[in-house]
Amino acid sequence: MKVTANQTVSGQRGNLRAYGILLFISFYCAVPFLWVLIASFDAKPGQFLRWPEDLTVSNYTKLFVSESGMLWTLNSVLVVGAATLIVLVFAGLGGYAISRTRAWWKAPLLYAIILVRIVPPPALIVPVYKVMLTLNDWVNGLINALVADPSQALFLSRIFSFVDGYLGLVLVLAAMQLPLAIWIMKTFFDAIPVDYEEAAVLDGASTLQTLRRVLLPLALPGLAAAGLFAFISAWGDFLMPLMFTSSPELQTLPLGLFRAFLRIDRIDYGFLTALAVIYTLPAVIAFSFARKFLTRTFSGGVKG
Amino acid sequence: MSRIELEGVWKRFGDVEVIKGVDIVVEQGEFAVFVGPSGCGKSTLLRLVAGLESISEGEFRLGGKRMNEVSPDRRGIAMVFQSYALYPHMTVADNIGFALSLKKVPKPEIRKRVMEVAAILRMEDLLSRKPAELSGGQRQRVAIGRAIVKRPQVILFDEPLSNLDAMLRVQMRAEIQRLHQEFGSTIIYVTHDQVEALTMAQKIVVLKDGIVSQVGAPMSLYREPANAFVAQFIGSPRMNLLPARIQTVGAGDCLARVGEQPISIPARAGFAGGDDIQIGIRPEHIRVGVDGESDLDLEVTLIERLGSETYLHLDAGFGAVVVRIEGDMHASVGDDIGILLAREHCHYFDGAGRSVAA
Repeated sequence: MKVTANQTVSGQRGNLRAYGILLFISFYCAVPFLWVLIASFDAKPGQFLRWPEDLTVSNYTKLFVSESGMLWTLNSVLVVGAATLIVLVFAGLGGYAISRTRAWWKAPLLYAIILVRIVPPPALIVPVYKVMLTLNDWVNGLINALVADPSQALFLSRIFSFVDGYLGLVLVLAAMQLPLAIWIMKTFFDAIPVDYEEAAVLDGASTLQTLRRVLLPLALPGLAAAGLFAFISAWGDFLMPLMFTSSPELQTLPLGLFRAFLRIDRIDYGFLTALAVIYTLPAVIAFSFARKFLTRTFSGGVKG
Repeated sequence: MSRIELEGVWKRFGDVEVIKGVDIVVEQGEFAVFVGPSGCGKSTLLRLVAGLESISEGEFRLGGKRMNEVSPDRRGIAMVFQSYALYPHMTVADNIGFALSLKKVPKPEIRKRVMEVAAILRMEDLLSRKPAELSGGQRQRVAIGRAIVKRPQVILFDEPLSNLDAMLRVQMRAEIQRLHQEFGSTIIYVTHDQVEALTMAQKIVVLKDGIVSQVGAPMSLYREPANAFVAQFIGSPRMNLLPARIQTVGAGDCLARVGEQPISIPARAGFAGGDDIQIGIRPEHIRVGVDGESDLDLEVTLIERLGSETYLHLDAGFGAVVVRIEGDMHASVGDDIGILLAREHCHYFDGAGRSVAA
């Protein structure tokens, strides 16, 4: 069929309309982020989107110099980074084991794991808190028994406590992210033929060498995906830091943001938006970093 | 040094018996082909030899030494996988040199040996590529290179050519045979393709349902199959099996019936009136009768003309009988023709499918 001039014009018009609508939706979605970004550089930001009269970084200096922004950021990076690391190690090894086993309990275990994920986290608060409290009593008892110096004991307690300590928060965050990560890694290892490992065994590789030189490079895209999801999800977690920390020294970014918002005197939009920008950055960085691995596909090792 | 002996070997996965008491000897430097239909246990047997599966019962000896408990990398055995299993994140050179680098061989030595192997397999220009950038035939070469760089006593091939197209397959067949002659390693080669078995093997082991059906040199299996299964499995097109019933047994001959048609066959020890047997005859040993001479009269159902030869498919009631004729032949579908069986090439199998000797 020949396309008439009329049809092309109406086609172009249709395209224009479609792009117009898309542009509007995109703008609508982007506005809040835009507002946050612009307001964070505004000396006198208001509730509405506007171009600042004076561009300034004073909001950021306030956050990092006069407020504890640096501490919150460090806490967040430390806690979430450690949790992600734990998730990667356990999801990598666990996902591999579950993928390769032929045991009868494989399917029940997998569904049990995902069940943990289905339960809404607030429903877990009471039992988890109870468990953590018991562990906390035990570990603090141990610290007090072993360390005489009170300031040293306080320092150790800050790190190893299960409630109001780094260790507890790291473990809880990791535990929340582990189910999905294990599923991702299990599915990923399912797609890696066992032939590679057998070839490595015949080449004389030990279990550790097979893991390091064959499996790990092959699993990188999967680990990147699992790690990215874990990091972003743990980074955004508000409930667990709220439940398991109380000392200001342990405060993480989401708690800092939340408490700054709740301050009685006045809402400082400049400060809040600067905090929000800082809070958003690592997730964006993590994504752009993992994207490289996510899109890297391996093929051609086995028949294709 | 590298004589392979399997003695009373069983392999069970839970309640499932995959290998059921296998005895096989492969001499040093011999090219043995394990052949059989899918599910016959040939790949499992190979994995037992490689050490990728444990032997449930029986013994595997290599050069007289018991190997059951020896770990795969200490057996001095290399394996070429059906899927090639090249490490996708390594270059061709790294793939070939991987086993050596694990053994902490110095780097210059690794490079030297990789180059040697690459020269043998004519792939010096591929060394810096990744497996994804190779064609099927090239990947196959790398997989073989990875095996021979270790200078193993034994090389195992698990259906290595099944992913290649027909022309490459013929080429790689010749290549593998050349390598065998050059290196003199003992080779076990697993395939379901009887053509590969016939063309490459010095010794063929035919497997069926986890047991050895017959062991022998290619032509001896072709000429003297021990049972109806081997008779039909080895040779293409396959041997015709005509179900027959012995009517009367005479001094030298007996009279049998194929369907409704009587046929006289040489008497064999153990034949008795009323026995059900099978007469086996290859398509090239059947002749079309002229001037009314005929053992059996059958109807033509299909004619395949290949130029140098013609295959007639005849309806025999119990299935098709295939006849091979040199050159072309004037016949058309629906014709009734008489065929003559060359008695000296006939095989006779008893009710259990065992060959009945003269």
